[in-house]
Amino acid sequence: MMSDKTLAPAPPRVSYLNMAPAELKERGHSLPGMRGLNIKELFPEVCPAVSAGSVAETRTLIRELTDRALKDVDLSKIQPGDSVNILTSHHGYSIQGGEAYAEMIRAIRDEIERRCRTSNIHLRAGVGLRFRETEEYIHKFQLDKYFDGKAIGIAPVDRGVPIETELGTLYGIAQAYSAKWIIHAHNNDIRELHYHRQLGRLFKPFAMSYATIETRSSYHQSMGPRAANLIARVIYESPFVQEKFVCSVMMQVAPSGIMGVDANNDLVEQDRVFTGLNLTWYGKVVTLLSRIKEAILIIDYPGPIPYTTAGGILFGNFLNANVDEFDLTVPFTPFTRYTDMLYPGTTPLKQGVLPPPNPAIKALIINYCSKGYPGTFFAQQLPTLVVGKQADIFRGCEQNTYFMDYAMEVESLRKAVAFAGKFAHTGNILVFDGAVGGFNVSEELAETMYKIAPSVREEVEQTLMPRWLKQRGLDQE
Amino acid sequence: MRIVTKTASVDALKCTGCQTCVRVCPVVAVRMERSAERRIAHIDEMECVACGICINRCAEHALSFKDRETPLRIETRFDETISEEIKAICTKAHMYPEQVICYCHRIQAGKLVAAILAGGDTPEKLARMTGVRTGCGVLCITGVLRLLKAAGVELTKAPGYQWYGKMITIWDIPEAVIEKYGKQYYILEDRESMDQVFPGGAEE
Repeated sequence: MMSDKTLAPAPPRVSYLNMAPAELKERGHSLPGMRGLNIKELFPEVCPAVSAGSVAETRTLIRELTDRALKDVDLSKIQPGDSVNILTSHHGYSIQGGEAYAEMIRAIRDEIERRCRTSNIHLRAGVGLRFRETEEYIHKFQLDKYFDGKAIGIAPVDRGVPIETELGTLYGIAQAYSAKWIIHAHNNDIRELHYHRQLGRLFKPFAMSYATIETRSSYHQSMGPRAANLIARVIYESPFVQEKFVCSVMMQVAPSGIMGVDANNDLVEQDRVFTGLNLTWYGKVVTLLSRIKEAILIIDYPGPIPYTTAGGILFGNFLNANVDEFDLTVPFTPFTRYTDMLYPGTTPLKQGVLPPPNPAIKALIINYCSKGYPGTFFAQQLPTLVVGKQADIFRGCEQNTYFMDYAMEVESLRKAVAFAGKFAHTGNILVFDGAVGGFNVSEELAETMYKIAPSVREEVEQTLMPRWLKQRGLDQE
Repeated sequence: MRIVTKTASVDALKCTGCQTCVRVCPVVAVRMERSAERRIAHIDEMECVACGICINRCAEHALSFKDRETPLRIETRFDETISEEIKAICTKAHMYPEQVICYCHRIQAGKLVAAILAGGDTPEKLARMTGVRTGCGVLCITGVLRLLKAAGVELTKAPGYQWYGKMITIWDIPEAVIEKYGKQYYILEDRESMDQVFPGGAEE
C-alpha cells in the first residue's frame, strides 16, 4: 500500500554557494500529484536505518555507535601529547543535514583524548571544488570550538606534500598530513559511482579530499575509468601514509538512511566488507532507477547538480543509469571527466564507444542547486530549464561560464514543469531534493516503480549480484 | 571570447601579508607591496580574471570581488588554426584538438597547443592567454601539463602552489604495479579502452 504523503526535502541552505532561502519559491515535492515513495515499500527486505528523532537524539545515538565501533580498535600507537589529525570530507557534513557525521567526529575526538591522553587533536575538513564549503560546516556545527580552535578547511590548491608511491610521486595536502597520526573519518555513500565503480570506494579521499590538484586531476583525466582508483590505493599504501595511519571510521549509509558506524585499523579489510554491503544496499535501488524509461527530473537540493540526491542516490547515478556501473566489464560510463572531455559539442568524438547520457531523461529542471562544479556538459546534453533566481547563480559561477547559453530560464517551477510536459510527453517526475529513505515522485512514476520492483529484485538477486560479487572476488564470501 | 566583469580586491585592514593569495593565483596577478609599515597583497587588475581562488583561500577573508569599471576581454590573440603541428602534439599527448580540457570554460586541447606555440610555455601564461585553470582551478592541470610536455616544454618550478609537475597517466604505470594490482584495478583493460578513445602516444 503506497503512502500519498510526500517526503520532507532537505531544507534550503544559507551558503555562499546558494541563492538565499527566501528566493526559493516552491519545492518539487509540493507540486500537485506528487507523492513520497519509501524504499521499504519497494523492497521490504532492506535493512532499516537507525532511527533518531531530534538532533539531540541523533547525537546521542551516533555517539553511542561511534564509541562502540572504536572499542575494538587499536589506538595504542598514539602516545600522550601526540598530534592527531582527524581527516574528514565535505560530503559527510551534508548527509541528512550533517549532524550525524559531525557527532561521529566529535566522538572520535573525545575517545582519542580519553584513551590516548592527548588533546593535541586537529580537524582537517577536505572539499571538492568549493573551497570554503567545509569552513561553513565547521562554523555550523561549532567544530572550531569543539576542537579548541584546531579545526580548518583544506583545499586542493593549498600547499602540497610529496608522497612517494608505487606509481611515483603524488601529492597530498600538507595540512592533512601535518600531524604525527591521522584518522580517516569518512562514509560509504555510493555517490560518485561513475568514478569509484565500487572498486576501493573507501580509499577515494586519499586521491581527492586529502590530495592536491595534480593528483586529483590525474585520477579524473589520465588514468582510465576503473584504474584511476589505484591512485587512492597506492597513496594509502605508501610508507608516508602508513607511518601515520591509525584507523578508519566510517559512517555507514544506505538508501534507507544512516545505518551505523564502523571502525577498523585495516582499511583494506574494511573496504572489502563495505564493497559487499554497498552492492547489497544500493544494487536494487540503482537498478530500479535504470529501468525507468522516461522521466522529467527536478533538481531541488543545496548541492552541485550531479551530487543532488534522493533516497541515497545521486542525479549523477541516474544520468549514468543506462549502463550498469557496478559491472566492471563496462569501461566508460555516460558521464565522467573522460566522457565529458570527448563531448566538445552535442555529439561525442568517438561515436559508438561512449554511451550517451541516460536517454530516459527527457527534461532537466533545475529549481535549486549549488554553484561550484563545472556542469555545462549537462545543459549541453539534456534539455535544461532553470527556474527563477537559480539562473543568476549559474551566471555568477566561475565554473559555469557558458551554462546559461545552453539552458532556458523559466520564471517559476510550475511553468517549467508544464512546459517540460509538453515536449517530454511523460507524466513521470522524479525529484532530487534530499529526501531520506525514498523519493518524491509523480503518482504515475510511483505506480511504475512499484510495479517493476519485484522483477528488479529477482534480476539483481539471481543475475546481477552474483556477477558483481564475482568481478570483485567476493563470490565465495 | 570571455568577458570578465569583476576583479579581486584586497581589504588592506584585514590583510596580514601571509601570501597565500600570491601562491594560489593561476595567472600570478597578486604580488606583495609595502603599505605603511607592512606588506600587503596587491591585485594587478589588468591580469586578474576573477576566478575567485584567492578569495576562497584567504584565511582572513580579506579578499572579495568588486565590479570592474571596464570589463576585461579574454580573447584569443594568436592563430587558433588547427595545423598539422598542433594535431601531432595533441596526438603525442593522447588527445584530440577538439577535446575539452577545461570543463569550466570549455577550452579545447587544440587551442591550448596553439597558445603554447605562440609562447605560452607555462601553465600561468596559458591561463592568461586562454583562461584555462581559471575556473575550478583543479581538474584541468594534468591536461595542461601533458600538452606542455608533448610540445617539448620543460617546466621548472611554479611560482607558488599552483603545480608540482608530477602526475601519472595510464600509459606510465610501472610493470611491477601492473603485476601487483592489474587484475583488481583493470589496468590493462583500461589502457586498452583509453587507447581506443585516446589513441596516440610517442612520436607517430
